[in-house]
Amino acid sequence: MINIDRENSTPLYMQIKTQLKDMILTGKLSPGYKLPPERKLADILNVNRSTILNAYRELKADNLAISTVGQGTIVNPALGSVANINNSNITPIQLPWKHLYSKMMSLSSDTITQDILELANRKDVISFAAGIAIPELNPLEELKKINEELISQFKHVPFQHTSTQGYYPLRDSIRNLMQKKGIIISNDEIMILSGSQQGLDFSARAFINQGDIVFTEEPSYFCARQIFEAFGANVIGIPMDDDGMSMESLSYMLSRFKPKFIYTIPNFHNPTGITMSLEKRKKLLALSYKHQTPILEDDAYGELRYEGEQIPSLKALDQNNYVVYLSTFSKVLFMGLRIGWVAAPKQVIQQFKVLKQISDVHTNSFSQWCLDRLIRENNYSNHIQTVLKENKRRRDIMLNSLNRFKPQNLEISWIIPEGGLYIWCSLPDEIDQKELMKNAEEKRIAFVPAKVFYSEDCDDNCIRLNFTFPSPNQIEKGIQLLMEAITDSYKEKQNEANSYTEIKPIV
Amino acid sequence: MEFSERMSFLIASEIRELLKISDQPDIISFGGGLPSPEVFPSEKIKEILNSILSTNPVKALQYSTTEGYTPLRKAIADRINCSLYTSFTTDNILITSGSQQGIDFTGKLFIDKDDIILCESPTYLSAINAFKAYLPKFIEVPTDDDGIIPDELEAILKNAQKSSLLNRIKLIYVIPDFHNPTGRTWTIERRKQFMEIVYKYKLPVIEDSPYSELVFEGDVFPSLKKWDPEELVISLGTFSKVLCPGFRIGWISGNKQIIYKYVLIKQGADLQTSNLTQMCIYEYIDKYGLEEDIELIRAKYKKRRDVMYSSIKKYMSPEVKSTYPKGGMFLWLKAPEYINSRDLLERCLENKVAFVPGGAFFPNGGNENTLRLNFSNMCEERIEEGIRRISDVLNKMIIKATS
Repeated sequence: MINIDRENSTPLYMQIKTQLKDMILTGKLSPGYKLPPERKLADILNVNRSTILNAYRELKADNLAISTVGQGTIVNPALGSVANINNSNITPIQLPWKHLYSKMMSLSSDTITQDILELANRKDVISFAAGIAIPELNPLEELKKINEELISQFKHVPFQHTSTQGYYPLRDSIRNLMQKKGIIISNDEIMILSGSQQGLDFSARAFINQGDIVFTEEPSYFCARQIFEAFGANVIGIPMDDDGMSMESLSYMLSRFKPKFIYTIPNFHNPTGITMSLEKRKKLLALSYKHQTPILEDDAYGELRYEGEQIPSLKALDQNNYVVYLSTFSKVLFMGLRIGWVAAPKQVIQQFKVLKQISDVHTNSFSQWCLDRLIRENNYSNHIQTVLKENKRRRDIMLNSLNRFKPQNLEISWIIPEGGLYIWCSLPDEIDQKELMKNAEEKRIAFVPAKVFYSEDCDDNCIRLNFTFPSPNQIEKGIQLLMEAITDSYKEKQNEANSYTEIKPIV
Repeated sequence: MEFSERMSFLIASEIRELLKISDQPDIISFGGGLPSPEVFPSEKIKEILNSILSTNPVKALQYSTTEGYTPLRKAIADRINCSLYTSFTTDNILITSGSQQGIDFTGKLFIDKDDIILCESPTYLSAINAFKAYLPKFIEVPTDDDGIIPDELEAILKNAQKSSLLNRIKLIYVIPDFHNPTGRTWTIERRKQFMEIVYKYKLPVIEDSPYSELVFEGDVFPSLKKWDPEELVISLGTFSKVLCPGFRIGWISGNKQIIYKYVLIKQGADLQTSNLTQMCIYEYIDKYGLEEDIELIRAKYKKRRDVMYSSIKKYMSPEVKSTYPKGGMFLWLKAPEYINSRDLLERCLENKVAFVPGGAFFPNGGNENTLRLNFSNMCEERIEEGIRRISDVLNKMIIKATS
């Protein structure tokens, strides 16, 4: 099994050592294996005993073998499984990955989005937790037709790379859509994103240095806050009134702090469903001009107004190019296509382009072609009408169910949203949300608790309920069960209060 | 508006400016890293998209999990278990929006300001740019025709250890197969030696393998994963080079715990990759496999490589050294030191031919006498004509400088 080449200039002991080493490292000789006694191996190979002694000494120097009393020389048992690697300097220490992670990583360990998506996908659960549009409404036949036509007509072209800023015809279609809402901009000021989430990520990357301040509404979309914090921002929450962010608070905070930008969801806010009044929008812009602070306007839900007057977006009202506007198609159709967009001053688009280039080069070409075709063929506005009608129906079913199943003895109230996807429901102070989640889960009901949306501890005892993802039947059934869970939690709390024992400190 | 510090390190890449130029039809462009479009199986894709939209539309158009479409992850695991000598399951795979996203996420996961990244010299331009956003320092490890030079790597690490910088070295980024920009492939000995050093110093490895399947001749060497019992290697892969670039589907594979970290990052970056396209690729692999397409591509690119290499030998001054890529999409030229390839490019553009000046592929600068040529995206006649045009300009510059 060991071949010796006496013509070779390599010393014999090294030849033997190398071959033994290979056998050890490839696992042929396992850890703990007893090597032949020196004299015996010397006889087999017809070499001097000192040659074998030297070979074994080399193996020991490399930590591949050790001497033991009674057994002679054995393959180092400490090699363990790493013996599979051809390595003469093995240190049997696992790499401490944790210490290699960036600071940013240690800040983005929250898994709540994941948990919500997983819960929403569980078949046995009625989920009010997701922020997902009605799944059954997608215009499939149209999409199939478009898909057929595009490939017949353009062959491989829709599958090749597109420009980083996005497929030009789609940008033009979006410009048109925005124009109808009073936002007058050029195609150069629009960029296609892989969902509007990417717009939040890029905004954070483009603007935030470690320690910078960012203002958001309080409560606000938790993913946005997480992303800003991951890039080192201190997020300061501005409280909300019934008609949006409190301008008194904002004005005061702007006089104390200099944020990099103000993040706001003016239409059908996530999670509260509140819409910012026109007066406040104007005031917000005035404050932003005064303090030279840009606004990041997240208009994910803008299309989804079920009643009341359309209020112009901040971007439409903005006279001085202070607003970076994000929106998405995910809430109205084909969320699986992952297409959103940003409308912003050219200098911002320029920065976003650089970021897009390094992060995913461009958004999926074929999705962009399909979507553009869909918008151009005028199916889009028909489709929106269908979505609005069905969404409103489900909202009303949820509102009715809340009224119908609400326990009379408990103070439960909610904000009636004029659009969007959510109802923000306020519970009595006595309800412990952790308890409630447990009780609700037993009844196979999921929702999102208030604390997720706050930047610090809150005593806001609200929950967010989505009314588009569950079917009308599920909404009725689910709200009934949820109210039962609330009653249960309330009773438990009463019982607890009666049997309250003071907790003494442990010293 | 006041942008963040990281933005000042990012400039619009040369490749982007070049892609603009190469869009003009009268230019022969060896610039972008574009695959050849003619081999794309559009009819088959059409059928598949139709069948998905008929049989499973809700799923295709709905959100799914961040990790990606499970059957596709399983298919990728099965595929790479053969080539990477791993025993991966779906949990070892995260679907990304192209492998570029894997590079960007790697920066996000590991790099704080002033951390050190080791890379080959030269290395992939867009990787340099993606990492730069996280404000690292680069140490370039010298390479030769056989790949990265192990002794040089060890010397660098020894030095770092001596000056207590080892803890700032977060990872080494490498492209062992048909390297971008040089087209070289690491020999098997180099792979082993490299992993020995990596294990000695316990260094995470990012192995970027977009071109591994595009082999024209010679042996296919195993991935670095073959020598990786402790899972120090994180591999990036993509379908962009073998199926369709516009779909933007790639993946990260590696240790489960680390993949989970990448999942968290993906959640913040774009939630998930388009479901419809993931399903489309899965169905395609399941129904047709990729082997036929890959064979077509290999044959086509090999011909083009042959034409480019022989044209270089035919037209170009022997002062210019060329690599001989045994696969991939790129060939690398080294002109005499006194040639500046940015100047050369300017003159070449006047003659309607484009390439990427090589200096951009060195994160710490220098090496302006080098050029990267892509051979996958132009037909043979245009390749020969393009090389002739570059040679005309370059040969004149050489004669002028030496006389």
